[in-house]
Amino acid sequence: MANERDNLKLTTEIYERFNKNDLDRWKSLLADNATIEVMPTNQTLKGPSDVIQYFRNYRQGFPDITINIQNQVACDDTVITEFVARGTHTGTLPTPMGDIPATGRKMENPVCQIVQWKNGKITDIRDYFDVATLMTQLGITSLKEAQTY
Amino acid sequence: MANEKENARLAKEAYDLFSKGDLNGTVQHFAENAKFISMPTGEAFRGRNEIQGFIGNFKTAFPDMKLDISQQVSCGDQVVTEFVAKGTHKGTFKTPMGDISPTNRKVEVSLCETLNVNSDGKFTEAHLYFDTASLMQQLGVTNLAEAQNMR
Repeated sequence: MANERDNLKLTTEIYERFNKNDLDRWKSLLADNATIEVMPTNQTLKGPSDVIQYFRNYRQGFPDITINIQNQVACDDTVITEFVARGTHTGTLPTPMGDIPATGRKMENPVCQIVQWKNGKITDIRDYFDVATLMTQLGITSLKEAQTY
Repeated sequence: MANEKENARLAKEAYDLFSKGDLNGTVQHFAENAKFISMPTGEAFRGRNEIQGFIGNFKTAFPDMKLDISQQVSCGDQVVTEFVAKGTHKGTFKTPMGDISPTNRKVEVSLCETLNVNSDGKFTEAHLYFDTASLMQQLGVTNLAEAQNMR
């Protein structure tokens, strides 16, 4: 149970720091071979630099982005967080299909993020959300363009 | 603590019943006034009938749809399940933008569902997360302006 409390505390902390544009703490907690699985696209990124870049991309596209936690549960080595990400698209959003220039549009997306911890380090993150919601909010209507996002 | 194992078992049972096509069996696992939210749209369904309507639409469109659990945790009164839904589009898929006739395409979608379970072992609230973009693409729908109404 002690680990569950620690994992929960650390997970909450990385989101709080993300909201303050500080991703260094998050990066320092990633295991060397940590992965993020972006479930909508089946994309897996490996290693602290690539994992943290995934989150930096959102901060770049939405400089005012905030994570608002709705529900959180720590269970064994897993912390599950349901949150709403809100932000304004005032920066360039890098995506695998290319950069999406700022549109000034607001986005609001429910996300379920599952973080696996081991010995105080994050080994894996699984990110569930709806790409269609995000794309529509940015005014992108062609899934052929968006499919690699 | 004893309930955690039982809650996980009940959740697994509910998904297995869906895979077997026993939708009534699945919704009987929900409390009468349960709330089910489809997170992509934020649409909320109240009670067993509405929930059956939502999940039934998938089973009608994809009669062979099977749910394969990849991860499941149960702590306190919450069960969180990650699963992959696989099926073939052999029936009409009802959407707010209109019905999508069978395409015979195979789909595979990753989902995550959080369940709150009461002391009677009934689900009181469900939050279902998945990506509608990949589902639409697999059905050959590529225009989000059309598809946005069905999220």
